[in-house]
Amino acid sequence: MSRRLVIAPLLAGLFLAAADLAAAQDGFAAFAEGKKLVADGKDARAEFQEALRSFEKRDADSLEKTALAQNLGNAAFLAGDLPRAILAFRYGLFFDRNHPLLRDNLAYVRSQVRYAAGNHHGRPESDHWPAWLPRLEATWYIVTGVISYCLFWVALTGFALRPTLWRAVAPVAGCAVACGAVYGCYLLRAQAANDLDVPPVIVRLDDVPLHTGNGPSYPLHAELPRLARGMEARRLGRRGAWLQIQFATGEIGWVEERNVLSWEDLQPQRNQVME
Amino acid sequence: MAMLFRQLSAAVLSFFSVSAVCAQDGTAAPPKLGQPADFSEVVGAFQISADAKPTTVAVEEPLTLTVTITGSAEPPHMPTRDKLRIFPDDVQRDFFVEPVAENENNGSWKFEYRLRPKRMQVRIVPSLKLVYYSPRQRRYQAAYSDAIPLTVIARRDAEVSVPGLRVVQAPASFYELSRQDTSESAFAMAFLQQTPHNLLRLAAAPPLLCLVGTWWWRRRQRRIDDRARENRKLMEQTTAKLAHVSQDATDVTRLVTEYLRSRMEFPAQEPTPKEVERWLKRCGITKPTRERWRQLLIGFDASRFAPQAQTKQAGAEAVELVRILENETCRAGW
Repeated sequence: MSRRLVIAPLLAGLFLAAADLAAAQDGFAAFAEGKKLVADGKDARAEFQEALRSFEKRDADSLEKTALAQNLGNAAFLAGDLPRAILAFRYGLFFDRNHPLLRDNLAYVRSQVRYAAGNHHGRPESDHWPAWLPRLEATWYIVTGVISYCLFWVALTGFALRPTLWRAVAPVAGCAVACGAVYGCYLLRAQAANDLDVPPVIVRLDDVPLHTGNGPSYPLHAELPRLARGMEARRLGRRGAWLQIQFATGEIGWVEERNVLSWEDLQPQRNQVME
Repeated sequence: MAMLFRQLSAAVLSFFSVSAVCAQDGTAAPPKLGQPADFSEVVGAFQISADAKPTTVAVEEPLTLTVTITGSAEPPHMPTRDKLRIFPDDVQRDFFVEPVAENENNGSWKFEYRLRPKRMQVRIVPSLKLVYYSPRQRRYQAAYSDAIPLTVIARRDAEVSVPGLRVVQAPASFYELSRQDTSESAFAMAFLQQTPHNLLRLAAAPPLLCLVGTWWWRRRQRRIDDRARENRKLMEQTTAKLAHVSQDATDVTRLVTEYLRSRMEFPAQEPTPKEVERWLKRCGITKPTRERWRQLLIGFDASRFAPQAQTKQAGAEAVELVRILENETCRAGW
């Protein structure tokens, strides 16, 4: 009995890993086929859609989160699914906030969204990263911050015991580096917390109405009555099949849930099974 | 194999979940037996109509097809776009189909599609078929919309209004896939999610350690200063005594030996010059000083055992050597 208890989960894990690997291989093969067709000047959207479906079957709990997000986003964009591409890149950036390729691709995909000309309504949130702070992984900020903070205290103690000019430079330098690293950690933490508290949603279709209440009988939003495909907002709340969303430019309104994509939509098959 | 396993497990799960739900609340679930392939997964009674605008378009230019489904649906089997199978199978041969907007209003569902005819031979927007399950009649029914006549004209030549405009393709980075993951490590994610209280506790550790280190260093420094003061006092006492007894080699030897015993923990009561030289070497005293000490002690021994060789400078030289030794021991950290 105990042996079965051990072997059954092991076999199930192996089976799921094999299925995950097979899905990845299918996705890579379909994507390569699509690339070949594009090189020949042919329409390859079907192949990229096939690749997208294969990548979506992969287990999101696997370790390759940024790689999966990059592959999903690229396949979605080349398949013509702009909202899903934006969602995938943002999903990847949640796990590696300063991933250069994901950031570049997201910026390009955002540039393809048809925002209303002449006003700023519904534009995505701008990047608040300071120019003087290098974009690194969180581990680097943490390690740098801890080391420079400790060095700052050691140098300050040395200065307090034997005050000399050159001994004053070390604590100042350590303090500056530690403050920069702590600020980097704070920004990463704030952005991650924001994504968890008010998760992003992406408009799936063109001309989606934005109502002022949770029903079609409510009037349309005065400044942003219609939403374009690929517009990004954050989910504030839910009432039935309606979501209250807020745009980075401040507009708040209600849309039907089926008209927007959220992180759960990245893996429809897995979510169906879980439900 | 993996695909087969996933599909099989999903089918088994959905079968069990549907069975369980039906058994619990008794809703009219559509039977699997005899279910048409184009069933749109809606239950109730429905009509479908379609409207297209404009009805004269050029090849690959868009027209908007508005599909209206009216009727009474039984939750949760409501019309949703992703489950609708209203287009004929060969619609892709004549049109590019793109979903646009949708809305629901009191038993009426509107779905908009953007259609682009692929060729001039297309004459109609085809009739749409909505297959639904009627719980009253306990069978699958179909509702149809009328086909819409369409006039497709030749494609207009593209007009380039901006000189030098070129077609922009996706950047090369979109054609690259990745297998390498760069997600933040679990440690970093856990660290970033710590509460401010925990972080403050961690931040308090280095200053506390530094405070403890400062206290220890000052205490050690005080001890060193105390010892140096005692040593200086001992040296001054010894030199003062040596000044009094500078004529007597025996007393000078005794005082010097006492000084060495107190200052450098010298073990012997009446050491030979060689023993003193070895002990000083062990204590890190330089060779010239050691040599001078040895010569001095040899001189004292000679004076003690041959009094006619006694010199007046014995005490003075001993004072000088004690001072040199003190300086050297201070440097060596004794």
